[in-house]
Amino acid sequence: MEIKVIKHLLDASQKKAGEIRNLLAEKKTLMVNIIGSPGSGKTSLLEKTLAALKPKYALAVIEGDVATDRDAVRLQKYDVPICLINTEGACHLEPMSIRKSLDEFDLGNLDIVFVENVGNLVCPAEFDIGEHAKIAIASVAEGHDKPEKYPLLFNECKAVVLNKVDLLPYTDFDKNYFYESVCKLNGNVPIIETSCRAAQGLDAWFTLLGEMRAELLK
Amino acid sequence: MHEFSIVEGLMGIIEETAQKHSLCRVDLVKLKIGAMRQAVPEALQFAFEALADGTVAQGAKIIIEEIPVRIKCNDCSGENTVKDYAFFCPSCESRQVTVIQGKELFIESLEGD
Repeated sequence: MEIKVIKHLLDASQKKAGEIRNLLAEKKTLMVNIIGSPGSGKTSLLEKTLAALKPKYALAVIEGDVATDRDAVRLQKYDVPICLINTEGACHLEPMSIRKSLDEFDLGNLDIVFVENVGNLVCPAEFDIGEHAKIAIASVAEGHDKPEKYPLLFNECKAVVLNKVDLLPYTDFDKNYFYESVCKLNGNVPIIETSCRAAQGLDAWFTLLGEMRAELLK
Repeated sequence: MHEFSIVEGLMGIIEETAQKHSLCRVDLVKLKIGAMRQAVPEALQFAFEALADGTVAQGAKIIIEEIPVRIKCNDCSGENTVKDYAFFCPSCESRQVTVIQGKELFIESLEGD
């Protein structure tokens, strides 16, 4: 006999992401999921963000890495709550460990939680962790073809940070090609050009975060 | 991607459903998987054969229906199938579109006795 089931195959994971989404809405805490290749500048972006926004907002970080606490240690000097998740082999963060991490924070007194996902353009895009926005970070050094090669992330993200623009004169990075590729996948998604190293372009990123926060509080 | 995780989830649902309906064996499983999910049918098949071994679904056939990516235009309301990952409306060329299909990851049904 045929039995209709119609159930999501990652049902437990979906439910947990939904639980996180409800919790963040209740506490009015913005959570952004920063996704990019290893070396694209996720931690550098967070360093600049924590330094600039800590006077204005109560911030926290969930730091995901396969191994080591190197990124968490880099962020310690900004004196915000940090929860480190060592996935010990898993290539992405999933909602169960995010939910446990959120319990470590005084969520009601936090404005923004940043999740620095494992360095990977593929798998983190697949897994909903209950975030308000996925932010794709790509760097000039990786080449201009990454959006078309990793379409799910660039289609799902709410913003693209194009980092290391100070390297443009030294590479064959075709900015028009990159912009067109992103536009083809994701209409009017903002592309914010930055150099974390040279502290360029970051104001637009901070403004975007402020807008996301304002949207949440409506 | 993560076909083993997906099949682990599937096996849980199959076992729960089989128990609920007192099935001694499951012969057929129908899945609906959206084209944007990056799931490889051959890898799903392989993972299923490995994980179904020794369970009520051992030897069951899997049928995977791939669901194409479709968008609805926020400006002209036209609905179209996405070709070549181009997420804009072919009728009015608007980039303001909503994905209405193509991210599914469901078990539709199963058959057994």
